[in-house]
Amino acid sequence: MGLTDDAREWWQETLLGQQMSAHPAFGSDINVHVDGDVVTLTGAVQTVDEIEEVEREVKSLGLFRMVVNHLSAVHGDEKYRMQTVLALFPGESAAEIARQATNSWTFHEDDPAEVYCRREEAEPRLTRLADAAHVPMSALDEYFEALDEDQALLIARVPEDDCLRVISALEGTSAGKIRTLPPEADGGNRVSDG
Amino acid sequence: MAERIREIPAQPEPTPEPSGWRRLVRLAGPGLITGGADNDPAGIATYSTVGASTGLGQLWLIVFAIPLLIAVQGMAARLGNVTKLGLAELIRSEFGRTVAFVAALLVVTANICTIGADLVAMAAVLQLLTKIRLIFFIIPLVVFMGYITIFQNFKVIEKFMLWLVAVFFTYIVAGFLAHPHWGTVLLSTVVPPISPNVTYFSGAVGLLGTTITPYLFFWQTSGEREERRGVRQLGESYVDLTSGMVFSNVTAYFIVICTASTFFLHHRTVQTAADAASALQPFAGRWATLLFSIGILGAGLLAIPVLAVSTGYIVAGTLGWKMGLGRQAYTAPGFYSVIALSMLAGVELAIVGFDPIKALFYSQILDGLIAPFLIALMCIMVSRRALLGDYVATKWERIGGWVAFAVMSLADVALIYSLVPHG
Repeated sequence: MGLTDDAREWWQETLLGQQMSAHPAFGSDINVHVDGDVVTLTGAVQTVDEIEEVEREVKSLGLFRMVVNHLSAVHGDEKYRMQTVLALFPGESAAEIARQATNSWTFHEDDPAEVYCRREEAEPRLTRLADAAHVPMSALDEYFEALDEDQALLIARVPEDDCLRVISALEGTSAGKIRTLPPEADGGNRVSDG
Repeated sequence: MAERIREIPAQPEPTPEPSGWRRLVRLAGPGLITGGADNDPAGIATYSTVGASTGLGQLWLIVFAIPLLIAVQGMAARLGNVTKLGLAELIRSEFGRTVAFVAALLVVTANICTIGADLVAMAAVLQLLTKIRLIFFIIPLVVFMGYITIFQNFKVIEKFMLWLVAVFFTYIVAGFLAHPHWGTVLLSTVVPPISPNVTYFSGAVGLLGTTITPYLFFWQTSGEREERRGVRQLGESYVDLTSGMVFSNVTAYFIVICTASTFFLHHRTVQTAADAASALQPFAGRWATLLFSIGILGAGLLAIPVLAVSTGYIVAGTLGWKMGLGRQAYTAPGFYSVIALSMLAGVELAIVGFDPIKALFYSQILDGLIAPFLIALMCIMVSRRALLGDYVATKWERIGGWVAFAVMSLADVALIYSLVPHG
């Protein structure tokens, strides 16, 4: 699948700094910055597939050693659903260190991991997450019991493809138990936790 | 808004989206690798031994095992895909440390035995080719495999190994050239001619153990999560693993036909690697040994790292260590140490000097004895809505899992019963 003439013309004008119009297929919110043989893409397109298509286009020009793709998708990543990782810690300080590590490993600043030490604080969020994941409330009992025993609970809600990254960040910490809730049902795609 | 940050070297030409069979090849993931690893040297030896000792009598079991294998590996894939956790972690989390330790101990023992037996088989074919004693090949083989597993990207290398295992497709041609009586083949495929004796039941347990084999459950679960497939790609996982399992069992089916035609009918047994290789003679003539050796080496190069990595997943998952082939060795020292130690333990067993064909066969019987326990644990987990939510296993998958449990348990009980002297 090669570049269309319109797209090639758009890229040529853009790279020469003469671009005033929208990309013929992917709209006007694509910004391109060139630094030597590295090209950086920023802005937004409609879907995740379009992010990859824009990246393919720029690679097909054959002008750059590296493509740094910071494009985002307006309609979210429909390929992956949101999923929650839960980890129990013996105390708040250990959980806080893990939270910082987890947040540094993920790219989702709109929904960062959080630590809960009291049942009444955690219950509304856990209940909402269990509901979104379609699991029975009994699945949460062990977390409530742990919170009653002064353990700390870390909750990280991330897209599925980032779950392994979060779990990897938690492995080797003092987490006594690392679990996940199943991916959320339709409607749970990269939306902020409501 | 979602943001993805990736840094990918630019390519001069765009890569078009593959279609048709090329798309299927691209889907090759843990399932196809699992199928390839399923036909490891131990598997080849077991199928050869079964064909030579019981003729076509267990062909039906190979065919019968295909849906069961797909169901069991499907459960393993589902668990990894939905929970993003490894099987050992899940067992620890769902059933407690004691059950997890017992499961880990059993599978690690079987894995090390299989590594040892596979190593001996690889060294035996090198001896066959070079006339140099097999003992001199064991350490270099392990050093090479340890290096590619721990210090290189095994996820990439494994896809090349798979091509070497494709050599075993020649068994299919050899099966036709051996001119078996196809009426008998067909009858043995659809009607179980069960002979109630130790040879038959040990063959059945070994055959089921090498087909529905425990370490591959762990490999599939961990492989699935490391592929980073989401639940919407569960269908892709099934295409991947079904192709792997069919590839594995079709090859097994023809190995049995070959050895039944060349050994069982002439009252010969498979005692050495050279014997096993001679089953390919109807197809390859004087090249049979070379072809068989390439296949065994490819199968071993694929299977031993898979066995060692699975052992790493099991131990690290049970003990809560950092793990994953995506990590560098220094970031998961425990996981990679287990991989290295399991290979070294395999070396220990290999240099003890046991009969390679018997060792391979008995290691698979051990797998056959352990598998029902793990299948039962997986069947329970895939039915738990608290664990999998809407992604609990389908009715047919659960039925397939429990039938696999029942069939393997029955074969185990029958073997144990047939071993007990009856006055």
